Amino acid sequence: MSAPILEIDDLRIAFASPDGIVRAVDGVSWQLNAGEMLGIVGESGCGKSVTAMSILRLLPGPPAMFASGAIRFRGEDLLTASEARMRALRGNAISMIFQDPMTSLNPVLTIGEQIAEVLILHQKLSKRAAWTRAGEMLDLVGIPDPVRRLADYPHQFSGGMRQRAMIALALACNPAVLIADEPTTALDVTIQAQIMELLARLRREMGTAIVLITHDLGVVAECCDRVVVMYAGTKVEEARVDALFARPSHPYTRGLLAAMPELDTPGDARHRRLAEIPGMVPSLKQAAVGCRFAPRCALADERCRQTIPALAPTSGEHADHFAACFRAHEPLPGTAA
Amino acid sequence: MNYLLRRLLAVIPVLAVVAVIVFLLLRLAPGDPAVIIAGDTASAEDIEHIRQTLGLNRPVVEQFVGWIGQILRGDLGTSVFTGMPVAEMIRQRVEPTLWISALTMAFAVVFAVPMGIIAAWKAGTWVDRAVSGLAVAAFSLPVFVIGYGLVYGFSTQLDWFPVQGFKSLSDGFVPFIRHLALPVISGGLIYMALLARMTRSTMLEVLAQDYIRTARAKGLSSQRLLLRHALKNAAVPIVTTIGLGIAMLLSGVIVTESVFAIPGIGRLTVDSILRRDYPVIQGIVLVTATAYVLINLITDLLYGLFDPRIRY
Repeated sequence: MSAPILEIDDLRIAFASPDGIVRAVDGVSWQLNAGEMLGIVGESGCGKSVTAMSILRLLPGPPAMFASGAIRFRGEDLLTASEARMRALRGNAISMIFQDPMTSLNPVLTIGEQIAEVLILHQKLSKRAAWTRAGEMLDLVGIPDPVRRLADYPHQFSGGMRQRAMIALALACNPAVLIADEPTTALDVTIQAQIMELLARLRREMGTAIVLITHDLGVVAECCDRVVVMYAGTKVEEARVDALFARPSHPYTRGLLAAMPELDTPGDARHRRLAEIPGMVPSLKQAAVGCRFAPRCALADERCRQTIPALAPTSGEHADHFAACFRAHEPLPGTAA
Repeated sequence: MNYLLRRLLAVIPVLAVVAVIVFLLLRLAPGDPAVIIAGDTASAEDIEHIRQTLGLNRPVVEQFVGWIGQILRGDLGTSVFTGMPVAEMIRQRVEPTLWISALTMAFAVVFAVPMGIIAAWKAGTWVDRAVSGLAVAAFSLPVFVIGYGLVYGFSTQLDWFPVQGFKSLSDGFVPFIRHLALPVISGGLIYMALLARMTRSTMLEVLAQDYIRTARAKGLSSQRLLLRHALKNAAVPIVTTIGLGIAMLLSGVIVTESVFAIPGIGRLTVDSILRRDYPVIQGIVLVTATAYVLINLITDLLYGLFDPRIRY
């Protein structure tokens, strides 16, 4: 296998807050291969968005933030790159789309101006050529009458159209990596499906590798090749999508999957209450002693509370399946595993 | 255009109300207006003469109709003191005042907007604190204190600028600017402070928006980010403050002109009040109110230029 295009290596990010240091990301590693779609899942506050933002260094800088480890794009460490180098990469080699398309576009500039701007900046296109290309991008993301819509302002677009425009903007310079931070969370369900379809199609057509940050396992199951599950700033499980859904190993992942409603469950079972994971996400202000998930885990024993479990290959038939749990695969009490 | 027409028509009732108030200014004052205007040392003939020339012996309604008719013809009346037409007196004094107002606002905008932008960009650093400190200082000092301070330092001690007076632009650019420099700076500092703080807080709010993060994710330089993406979004409150500032200047200029003995509208106002020259006071109030209303109209129209969501 060729070298990964993007590699996160033991990334640690901490923020200084009035009541102590918050370890938002605590030693996370993963790789993204060219053309691949990698899902990063976890609940709010697990550090997935902070990880995403740190790739383009969009987080507020020191002294409020400390980062260590490495983020390598084609072998080049982005954590130590100059600001000028980062500007050259942003929007060009690595792009990003955000959760809320209603607020992510500048209300006082036309859609055309906002897309043409990156093309003029990075591809050194003339104004006219950039405008033409911007029209092609709108066409590519499925906006009808694209050339005329270039002169529109964001408030003249619907939510779904704005996210399409954001995608057009992000992909205008044909980046190698697209980071999509919860791109469908703020949209209604039918539009969500359309946007995910669009991302999947553009990945096929343009060969862009995509990091999809989401808390929606359904979206992951449909679109991603591999999944990283994060909990409380750490990676608890990583696997190919089929392996993860077939044989979830970490009790947290199993809890997440159990919390998904199933439409194909027959009869009375459909009317049962959805399973939930008891307890709360732990505070990230103290350094972890044992497993971060132990207080909420039905399987946790003394060892779990004393020692942090390392990420290890699971005993499953899939080679690239890892989980950070001493008791992976053991049946959860009260369920027929 | 339709909107512009409607807004222009809406100016008429506002000015009508102003006209009524200006008219009543003299008539509602306690006592006989002619006696008030004539002053303590006037003889009976003087008072009768004033009563005749101002038509104060006619019924109030007739006076009002006559006065409105006059104004509509562009005749603001005649000064009791100089015997000159009021319109002509205002016209003679308007040049210094227009220059002071325009240059004061230009001075404030040119310094305050960049200061506010930089303070917001460097929020929390010493640059930000320096700008805020400067703004508070400029806010707290009255115009005449700053004015006399500057005159003492730069005119009396250093002899760089004349102590007072005004030179028209037709007398040459250098004397013109030398005479206006200190009045403009002393009058402009307070607007600079106001505008810098306004710009800072508006920019801070804009810089926290999602679309600024998008702009950063596009790889834009800080300069482009601030000027193209942030400033245009902050423009509406900034323009509003500038508009209010110009309106405030119309009265603020009275102090500046008094400190620097500049023969402008402000001086004319003060002099006319001291002389109880009611026709001139009325004329000035009417002209100033019209300018006020027009500035507000222009400010409103500018909003649409900066924010496409505002459409008329």
